Amino acid sequence: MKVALLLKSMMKQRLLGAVLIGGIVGAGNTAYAADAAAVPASPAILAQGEAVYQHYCTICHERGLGYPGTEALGFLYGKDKAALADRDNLVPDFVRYIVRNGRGLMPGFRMGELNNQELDALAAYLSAGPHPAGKK
Amino acid sequence: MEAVLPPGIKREQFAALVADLQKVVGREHVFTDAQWELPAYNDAYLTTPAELHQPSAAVAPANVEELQRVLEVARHYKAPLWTVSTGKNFAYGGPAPRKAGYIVLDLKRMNRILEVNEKHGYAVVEPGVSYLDLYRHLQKIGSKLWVDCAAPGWGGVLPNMTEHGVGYTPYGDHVTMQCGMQVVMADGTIVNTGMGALPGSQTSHLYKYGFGPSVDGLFTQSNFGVVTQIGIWLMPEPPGYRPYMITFEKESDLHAITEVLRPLKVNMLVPAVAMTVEMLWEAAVQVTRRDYYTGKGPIPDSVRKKMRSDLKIGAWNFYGALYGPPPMMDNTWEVVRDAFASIPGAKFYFDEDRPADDAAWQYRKKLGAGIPNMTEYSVMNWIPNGAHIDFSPISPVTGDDATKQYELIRDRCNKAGFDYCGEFAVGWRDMHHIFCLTFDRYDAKQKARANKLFGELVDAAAAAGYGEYRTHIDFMDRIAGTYNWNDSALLRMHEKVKDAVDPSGILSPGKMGIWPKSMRKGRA
Ligand SMILES: Cc1cc2nc3c(=O)[nH]c(=O)nc-3n(C[C@H](O)[C@H](O)[C@H](O)COP(=O)(O)OP(=O)(O)OC[C@H]3O[C@@H](n4cnc5c(N)ncnc54)[C@H](O)[C@@H]3O)c2cc1C
Repeated sequence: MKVALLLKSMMKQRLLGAVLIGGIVGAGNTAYAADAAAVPASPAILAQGEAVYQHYCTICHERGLGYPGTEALGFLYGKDKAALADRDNLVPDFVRYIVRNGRGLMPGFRMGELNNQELDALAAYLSAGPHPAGKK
Repeated sequence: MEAVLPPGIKREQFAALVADLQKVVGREHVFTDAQWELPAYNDAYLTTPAELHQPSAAVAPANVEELQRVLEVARHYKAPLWTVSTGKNFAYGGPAPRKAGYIVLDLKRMNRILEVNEKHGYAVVEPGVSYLDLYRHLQKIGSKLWVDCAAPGWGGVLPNMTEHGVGYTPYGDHVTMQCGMQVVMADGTIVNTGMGALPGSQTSHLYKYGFGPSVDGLFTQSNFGVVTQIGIWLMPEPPGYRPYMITFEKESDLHAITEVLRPLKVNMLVPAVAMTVEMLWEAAVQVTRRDYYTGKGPIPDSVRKKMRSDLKIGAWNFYGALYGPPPMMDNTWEVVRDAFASIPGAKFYFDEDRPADDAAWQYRKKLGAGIPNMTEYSVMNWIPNGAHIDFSPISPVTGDDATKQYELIRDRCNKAGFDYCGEFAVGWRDMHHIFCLTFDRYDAKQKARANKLFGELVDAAAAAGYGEYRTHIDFMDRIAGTYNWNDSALLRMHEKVKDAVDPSGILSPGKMGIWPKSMRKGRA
């Protein structure tokens, strides 16, 4: 049931991505055909994902004022879902797609700066959200 | 996106080339999948079709030895590489190569901070060290040295310097603050410039010029070598920091602001890069166009007025800061304030006077103290799917020049249906006019219009005697073409140097309009 729901939300988001990104979404990444969402991530992976999130993402996506990613997502989803850590509907494939391809003002992140293993950990961490402030 | 090949290289050769690169750096650091691995190596903010800048591959060496061997492979196949370090050169091309098919040489993995010298105030960094990395490191080790960062904190200390980039503390002219450089030449030779050429040198990062010709500049905005280390001077935390903002009522005040500013800059009473920011830039980092106007074309003056009053900003907004012991700051402030107070309607603000939710003030305050952040990227939130390229001509610091530049760009920009969004940055005796040309990334027509406007601006600026300080990959030839005094003597000299130091033509062909001999016919 949970997996079905996740997939549904992923499809919805993919669709959204397709509209925004101009229709190249379906091409996607064959290496990730099986969605890791089905398998719960280990605490070690989640910890690594959080570290990646802190290192790369927070400078644009933190809660509060002056974060361009948070501002942009606020326009799309409303202020309460604007910070990535507050999202409860992210799924790994969607995170991976956006990170590699970018969206709106966000450029994609290169393999040379963030490898697939780090990206998987990040995707697992964000998909396990929300992550309330001050809590691990 | 379809896979592409490097120019002049056949499919089988390419497969062999990739295999050789994999032998050098490992399979996991050579990227060739056009669907998954390479999109992020293109430019998110292109005004031209993405196919024109689609790389064939990317390769990420971990150290100088691997880099030397990558160069050897490239020489063997005569394969063009495109060097990037942190790879965030957005507004000027991001990590995308000048032409389709190049292999991006991604140095992000070379990200060591080799030294922080607290006593003399410098750091030595590799190409992949971002401002944020260096800042976090300094915080971690309890250093009392400041970083000077460009507005995007994810940019790189080394590559921003090689691009002649600017930041916002008194150490904002990054080329001036660079001291000591290591370069790997196309043939693999490692060169230490300046004092670093002396074995066991005590002063590699203290004295810039060394013995004999000073060559560091040959490796900035260039394709003559791959810079693998630089020394960068860091400002010791001052005893006091007091940023201020002065707002001005009228569009025409730009003239007076610039005239007042020149002597203050030349006499160093405004020590950091001094910013005179047009109202729309201020607004765009905190509100959107549709909050105020849903019509077509540039926003009308009446709307601009409303935004100014809502956001408590002027038609122009000047940002500066006082640094030093409090009595020094107090004295300097008297001079600065009295000078600007001669302009009717000037209003003065310190931190406590600005609204707490003023995102524009908050990020400028951080930048003046070298605290990396990304707030300025919010200018692109002005319109949905906003992206931008920067047009950045240099002019003398005079009211006449500022006004002429402003009008030259504003009028053409309005005519093309875009909102003028710009700022003037005074370094010392020069003024960078940064025009942030914002367009919808997913609207092909708007992109074509933006591209056309940019070209017109290049020509109009050159005709008025203004040249750009750097540019987007799509305009490198066009702008290099404007620096054509004496039958393009400078460009021809660059080409001679290029042919001498990189005879195989493997390093970033076309960077700043400099092409190797084999590709000169391809000059766009
Ligand atoms: C909203 C916004 C605001 C901006 N504000 C500023 C600003 O305040 N100041 C500013 O300076 N810029 C600014 N920029 C432009 C740009 O984003 C920065 O200059 C950024 O630092 C450049 O990217 P990078 O540092 O990651 O360099 P990279 O992308 O790694 O490199 C840039 C270029 O330098 C050359 N290069 C890179 N590495 C090497 C090397 N090792 N050897 C030889 N050549 C090399 C290459 O030609 C490469 O294309 C802004 C851009 C945007 C979108």
